[in-house]
Amino acid sequence: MANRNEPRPDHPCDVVQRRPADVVMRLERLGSLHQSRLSFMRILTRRLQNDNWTITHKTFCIDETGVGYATYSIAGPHNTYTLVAFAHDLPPEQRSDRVIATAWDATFTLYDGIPSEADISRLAANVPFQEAGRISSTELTLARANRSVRLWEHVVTALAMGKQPDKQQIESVGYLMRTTAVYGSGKFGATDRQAVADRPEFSVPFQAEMLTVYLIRTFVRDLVQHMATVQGGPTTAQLEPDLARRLGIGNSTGLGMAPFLVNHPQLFNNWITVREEALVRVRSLESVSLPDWEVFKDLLARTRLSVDTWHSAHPLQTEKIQQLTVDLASLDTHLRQVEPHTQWLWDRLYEWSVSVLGVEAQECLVSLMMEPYADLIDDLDGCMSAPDGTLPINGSMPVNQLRQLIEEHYPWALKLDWDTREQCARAWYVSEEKLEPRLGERFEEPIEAFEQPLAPARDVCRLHAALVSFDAETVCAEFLLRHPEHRHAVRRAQLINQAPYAEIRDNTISASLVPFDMLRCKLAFFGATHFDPRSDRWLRICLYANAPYPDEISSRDADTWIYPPLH
Amino acid sequence: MVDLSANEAASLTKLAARGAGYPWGLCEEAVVAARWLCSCELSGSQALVLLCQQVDRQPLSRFTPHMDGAIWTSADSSLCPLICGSALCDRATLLTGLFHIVIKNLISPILLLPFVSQLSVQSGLPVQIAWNELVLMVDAERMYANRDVKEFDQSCSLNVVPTTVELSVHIAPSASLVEWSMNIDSRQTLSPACLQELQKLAQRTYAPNTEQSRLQGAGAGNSDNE
Repeated sequence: MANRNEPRPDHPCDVVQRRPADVVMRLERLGSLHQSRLSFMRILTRRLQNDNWTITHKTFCIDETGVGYATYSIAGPHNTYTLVAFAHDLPPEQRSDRVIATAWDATFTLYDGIPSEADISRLAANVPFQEAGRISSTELTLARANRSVRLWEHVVTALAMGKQPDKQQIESVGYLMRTTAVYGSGKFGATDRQAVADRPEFSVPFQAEMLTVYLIRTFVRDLVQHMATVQGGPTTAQLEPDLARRLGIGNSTGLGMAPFLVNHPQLFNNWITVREEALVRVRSLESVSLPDWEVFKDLLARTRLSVDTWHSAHPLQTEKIQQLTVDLASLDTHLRQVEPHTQWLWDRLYEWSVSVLGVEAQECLVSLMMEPYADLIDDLDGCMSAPDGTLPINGSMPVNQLRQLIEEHYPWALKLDWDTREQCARAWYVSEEKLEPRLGERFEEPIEAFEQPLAPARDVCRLHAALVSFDAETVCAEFLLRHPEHRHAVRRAQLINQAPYAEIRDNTISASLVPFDMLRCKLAFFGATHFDPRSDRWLRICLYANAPYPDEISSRDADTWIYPPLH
Repeated sequence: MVDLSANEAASLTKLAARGAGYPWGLCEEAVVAARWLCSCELSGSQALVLLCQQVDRQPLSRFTPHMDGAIWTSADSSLCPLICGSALCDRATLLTGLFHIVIKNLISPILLLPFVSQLSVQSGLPVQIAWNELVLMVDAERMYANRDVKEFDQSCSLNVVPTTVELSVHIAPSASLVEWSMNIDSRQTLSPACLQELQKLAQRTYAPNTEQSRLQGAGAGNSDNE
């Protein structure tokens, strides 16, 4: 078998290359990404299994009204972490997914180690207040969740009556609670990511946040059982494990997530590079073994099942799901005509998808093609982090070289007429109301003075225009001394030359921007499924549905659980 | 005293600088500087407050150096360490040989130290900075000073008047200098008064709440009781 990336004289194209940033970094495609074996959630569950992480200690001090606390300590080869969960009695009128909420059904922190009673008391005085409280360097995350009232009541009532809840209802909602924020990396006094980044379990981004949500799911399962038992007494049914496993944890995500991709260009570049490199490695395989082909086909069937239970009321998403359903059926039909021994099968299949399928299905296929190849791909997870910090500017670069860089990497932006209202209709800002990130209408609201630097394309075009009046050989250092207002854009333009996937190649302030594309992109890297936009700027998703719980992770599939079982 | 995580301190620094009127690119430099100071366990926060209060949304050209050979001066005001520091680092690969730069009337010189460190790393040259009685030498990522960190920090906080700073290439550390260590896990401790000043500056970057903003800005209603 030929090695990856070696010239292939008998193949239509010489060497498979990573896809160009102009293709990958468009919002339409980023907003169509799917989870993959490089998703942070799956990297975590594989690690939990491979390193034999187990729940070593548990307390459950919750009363008959559902108020109290619980702890779940999970231990790995070197460290133990404890989810400390507080359950509250939330009046229905206070149940809001927004940042501006001030009370929740449950609040959480992930403690670094096993907390003492004094720690629990300290956390009880702070965690329930979330942003208004303080945590410390012994805590890794801060999170909260609200019940899905509809499913919660159904499950409690059914179990209390000695019956199992309805599978259809479980699948139509997907979760009993949804998190409305999971803060990490130094927020509200928590430990900084860089302080723990040298621990193997945190080498990949967002692992502390993913572990928090994973343990929250266990707590929620136990809490619903407790509340049912309070109501039903000794004849209460125990939730069947197969049903419990179908329950994920919901997540409600607003605009706060969108700036992350713009504010962490190097990190974003690394995520996309890893995904693109994985695709290159698979497309470069000359042949496909029959067992690998069967894995792929099995997971395609399970993907189709998952798509069948993916519901959204948002017209844009509904259309995308419908198209995806049709496209995956076409893919299935196409596969029946494919001879698995075909040379360069994966590459041909990918090329076929580009000519026939929509973007959503193309990206779904990309994720599926990676599935059989743990040995080829999983080591890439070590490249998904980025060092903290800001790239130093190369001040010796002549301005004509900077201009050329901009013309090479931002031609699409230079074509836009930034003087029109349509191209800069929006402005990103932070409201003084609980610092909620928002997106407003620049020409209709008094927000421009508070605009966040989240329109790199516009800023780089302004920089390009300013450079015109300088001599070609003037160095950036001289230019920036006179124009410090372009410093941010100079840094980005220089970065993109080294990190081609660092920048979203679309206008992030246009009247036609669909912000949830940005949210979905990040959430797909987390491993989310069933994206359900509730408006153009927030969406709900499901995490960990069908995942094994900690008490069964050693004996069940800890990797491809994300694809629902066929039976 | 208030304990902040390094990321909280960085975020507050960025917004405070923005609130004082700095463009975002220089706010990013302020963050790099704050992180460096934090990892040395130097308290740059009070110096930042002092700087922001002096700059306070005035035109930055007033605080930008005029470079007359190796002498950096401001025509009608004091110089800003964020602007001077960024200008130094932007010139890192342009500075050759035994350079000697004099920066006159510099506000909060402690805020220049992170840039001197970066300059040394980028240029590959050992750089010495000196003002008043204080001397710091940076060679790649190793630092030596004529005071330990605590004394150096105290001297800086006692002196709040703009000062002339001299920078030069220094070949060998003097035996009388103390080596400093860096701790990348450091958090920031600052006084409640300093925190309040920084928060006040940061507050200027938040848009006042309006009904339209509350209803439309997040694209969501206020209740999710379903």
